[in-house]
Amino acid sequence: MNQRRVWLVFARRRYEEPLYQVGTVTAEDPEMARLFAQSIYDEHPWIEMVVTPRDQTQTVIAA
Amino acid sequence: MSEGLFETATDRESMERAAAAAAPVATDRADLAMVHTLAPALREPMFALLSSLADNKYVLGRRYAEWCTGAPMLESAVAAAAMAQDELGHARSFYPLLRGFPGGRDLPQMEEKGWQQRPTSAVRCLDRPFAGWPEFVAANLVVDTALTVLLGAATESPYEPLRQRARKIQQEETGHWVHATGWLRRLGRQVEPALPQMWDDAFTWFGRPDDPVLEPLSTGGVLSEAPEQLRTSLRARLERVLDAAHLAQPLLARELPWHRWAPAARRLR
Repeated sequence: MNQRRVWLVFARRRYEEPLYQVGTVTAEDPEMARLFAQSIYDEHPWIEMVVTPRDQTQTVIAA
Repeated sequence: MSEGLFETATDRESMERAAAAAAPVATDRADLAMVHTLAPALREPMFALLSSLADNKYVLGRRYAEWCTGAPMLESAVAAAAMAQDELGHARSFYPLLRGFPGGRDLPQMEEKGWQQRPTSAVRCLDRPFAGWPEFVAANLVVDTALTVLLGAATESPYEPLRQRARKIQQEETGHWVHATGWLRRLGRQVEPALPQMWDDAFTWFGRPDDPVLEPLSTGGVLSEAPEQLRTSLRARLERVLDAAHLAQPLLARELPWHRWAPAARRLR
């Protein structure tokens, strides 16, 4: 069985605004992560949405 | 209204979509009139096909909806809700078309009280709620895909109301396939017990080679594939993912139980 990963979900509503994090999803592969992100975070007519594995982020300034 | 408050409700496109969904509009009447673009001999088969498509999507949508709160992950519970809405939406797009056919003029309307309790004729495996999540995944994979394969044979149909819906539904169904195949990879053999019945239901749903509904529609050019070709297409689509899950062989060798096929109901007894 594949390992479940947490994916960060980023989206934006307008071309003039940057992507911002709207939440996370848990999924085993990119296809499922995209599907889950699209069905969960459907509150706006986004113009762009991306997902990226949380374990691939690098901390620059720790909280 | 202050800016930002209910901002999506002020979106013109959303408002137009909501208004269009709320009441029959001129396009619906135009769709009904399109029945006359069908050769008279094809009207009864088309009525039967649309009825079966609508009922199967309606019942599948209700079965999906039963898992909106029960899926093993929050993400899939939301996906189940989204897929239920898709299927019910597809059904709602087909039912009004029936009114344009002689056999559909006296059917109860969706807006009428008691419509949800009317008799439907969907494939047998949808008669009762899914016994568990693996059954959900099996139906998602096999039954949902069978309906999509049939609509894939209608994307170039000369009967415009079916063609338009088929093209839109094909796009929406992409996510259903991703969901089903993702869960199949994850559950593997846990899905196996649920597959044979759904396989039989889905592969017989296209009817025998001389099916009185699909055969004339394909011969008449309204569908691009006849029953045997539809079975081949469905098999080709499923074979790769089932093979990867080591579940293909027993299913691919399976004899279909035609002795239980009830052509008028388009389902197995």
